[in-house]
Amino acid sequence: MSAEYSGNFQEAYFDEVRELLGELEAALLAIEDDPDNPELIGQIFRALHTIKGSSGMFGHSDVAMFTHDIENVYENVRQGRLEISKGLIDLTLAASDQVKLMTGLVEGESAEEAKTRAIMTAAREILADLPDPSSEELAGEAPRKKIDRRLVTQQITFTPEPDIFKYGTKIIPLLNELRRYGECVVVAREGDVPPLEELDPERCRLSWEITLASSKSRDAIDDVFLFVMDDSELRVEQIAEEDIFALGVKPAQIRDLILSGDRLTKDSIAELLAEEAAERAYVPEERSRTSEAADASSVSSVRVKSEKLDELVNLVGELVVVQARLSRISNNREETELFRVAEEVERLTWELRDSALNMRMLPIGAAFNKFRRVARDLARDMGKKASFTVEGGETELDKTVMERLNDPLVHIIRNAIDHGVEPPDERLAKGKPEQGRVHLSASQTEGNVVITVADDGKGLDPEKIKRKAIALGMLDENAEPTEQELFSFVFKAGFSTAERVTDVSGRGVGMDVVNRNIEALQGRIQLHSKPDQGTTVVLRMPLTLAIMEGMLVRSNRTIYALPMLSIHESFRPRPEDVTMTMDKLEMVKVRERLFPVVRLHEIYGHDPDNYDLDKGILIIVESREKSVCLFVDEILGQQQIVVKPLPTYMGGIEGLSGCMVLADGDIGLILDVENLIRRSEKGAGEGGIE
Amino acid sequence: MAKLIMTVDDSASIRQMVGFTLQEAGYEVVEAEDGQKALDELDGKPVKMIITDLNMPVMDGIELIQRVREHPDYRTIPIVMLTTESQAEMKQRGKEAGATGWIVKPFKPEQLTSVIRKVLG
Repeated sequence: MSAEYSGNFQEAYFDEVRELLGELEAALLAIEDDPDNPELIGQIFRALHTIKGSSGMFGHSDVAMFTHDIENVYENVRQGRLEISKGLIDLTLAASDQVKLMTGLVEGESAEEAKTRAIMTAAREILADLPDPSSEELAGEAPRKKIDRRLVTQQITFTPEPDIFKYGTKIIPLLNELRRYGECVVVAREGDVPPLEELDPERCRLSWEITLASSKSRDAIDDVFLFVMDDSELRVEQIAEEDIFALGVKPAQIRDLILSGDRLTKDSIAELLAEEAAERAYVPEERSRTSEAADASSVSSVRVKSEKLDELVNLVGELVVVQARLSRISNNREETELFRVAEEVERLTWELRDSALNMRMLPIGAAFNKFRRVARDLARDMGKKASFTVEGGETELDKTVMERLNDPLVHIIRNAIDHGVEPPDERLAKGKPEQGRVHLSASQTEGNVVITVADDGKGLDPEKIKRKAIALGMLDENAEPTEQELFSFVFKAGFSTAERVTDVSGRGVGMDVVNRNIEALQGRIQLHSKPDQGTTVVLRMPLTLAIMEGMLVRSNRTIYALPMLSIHESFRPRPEDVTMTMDKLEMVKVRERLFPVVRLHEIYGHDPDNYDLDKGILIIVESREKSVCLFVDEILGQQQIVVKPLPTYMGGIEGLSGCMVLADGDIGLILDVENLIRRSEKGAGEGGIE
Repeated sequence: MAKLIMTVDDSASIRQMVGFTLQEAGYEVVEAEDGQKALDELDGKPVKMIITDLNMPVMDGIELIQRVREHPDYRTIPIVMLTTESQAEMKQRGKEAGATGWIVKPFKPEQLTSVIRKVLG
């Protein structure tokens, strides 16, 4: 434990020791008259025990060692092997004083080591006189074994006792811990799982076969099952002296072997390895003819027109829908065989979907390199010095998303150099290095790709933005917006374009257009900035546009989907929170903020289940500019949606970005939140279509 | 939401240390200073795991484990006991009472979090 870490608890520790010593002394004095009182013996023992425990924890190992011996003496008293005597009480009182000195509780005095040792020796002598010195269990760790880092394959059979759940044991964490050790195939045997009606969910009837390739010893594996070893059965057998997965054995082969029959043995594995080796001996010959060509291009790939990939994804999307229908049918019928097939189809479909989407993914690095040139040329033209660094080029992103990110990123990088990085003399005057820095990075987090462009230039000046927003009539003079709210003006139409006095880009693309492009890609843009430290633009993009995490909602008989990224929360309003403004706009108050209400049924001209807001559901959806409450009849749930373009005959419908096929074959509509919000800004009276 | 873990110990400093380590690791913590207080504290809270000392006044750790194992709402939650190096007999009694696992004092914060990961996933 670091000194800093334990420092937080030192004070509590000292208080505690002082208190415990007080209790200890009181008990010692009381026990003089009542030497057989078990309660007093218990108190003394507990005080010593706790002092020892805390001292060990908080870095006072000398105190812990010292108290350990005394505690041992009292352990024997508790067990009835030793009697309380005047001598023992004196010794313990002396020990108590000594602890006080050792922990510095007596001001101006410190412990004499000789005294400490004398007390410890006395305690040990008492213990040594006892018939069986069982307290010497800590006699050092077992000698360290030589560590062998070679990978071996072990077969672990784990049969928990049926009552294992009653000890609070959870199986999955154990398996996960094994997975951390190395490549691992886990197969559960159903064994004697009874039919559902007779199933007792609190009894464990499964057993597990785990094939693990790792460098871990038997001891390390035992350690995983440390807490469950007693009544459960654990068998560990080394089945190969190497990592069988590295030798080409596939997890599926292991799974099949285990499910088809018995335990894996050395022999069955040897057989598998022999087959594998034979296959490999054969293959290289086949390949040798083409290997030179492959080396030349270093990556073996096939060029495919991207329309063909789109077509493939589209077909897979339809397959997903049909598969969902199949699963539903099979769930409604109690036919095991049909169920199995449907399950298999489901698994394959999802795998197919993943790999089809994967084909559209490209590492972002190639695109990044183009920006290097842009940055370099621009800096040169403007007489600025700026280094341009990239990071995370291996991050993969959907091809379409990447292509459509190009213009916005160029613009952001131009901005960083044009408006961010200062001219060299200005930088030197500020005490910054002459050369500025623009850093472009990408990383993947939870289904999103995060791209950041960071510069170390002059940053945004919130005050300046505020003054300008007021001057442009976008902000009330008395308003007190947060910094983030001020930064969001940069994205408003007519704001950033007016700002650009030196428009190097000459494209007439303002940050408002950047923002709109990003949001059209279901992405999010955010600004962080500190005056004179620089600006960071963060883009959060979905991995792909073909699949979207969506919330399904219903209004009348139509099913709509909302991108999860734009949903803030959903709730049923109380009637008293609904108000009407003077321009007849419905507003809902949520935690002291007012949100305009957008009635989905009004936009698409049908009747809701109920016109009262408090009978349906409101969903707060947000874009950069603002948030509104969308009124729908019902929320149906969250699911992954395969996005399809709107058929041409439906083209041009306001507020829709695409459609999807629902599990029952019906069509659902995907809402374009950005568009809906812009619509609401025009006011209810117009109800206009662009 | 962060999982809620209860730490039971008569030593305030150990409670604090365990509590701090758990919070650092992203858990929420509720503390109790003996077995009885622990049972009182449980009271419908979504406690996902208990870490308890064994030697405590009023109600010791063993009885606490037994009582939790009889509790209709909490009987299957993991309970980890804190023991000292050579309390082999106590450990055995704890296991018989239904403890899920144990941690030997003194321990480092990493050891504590690794045990929690083992039993809570």
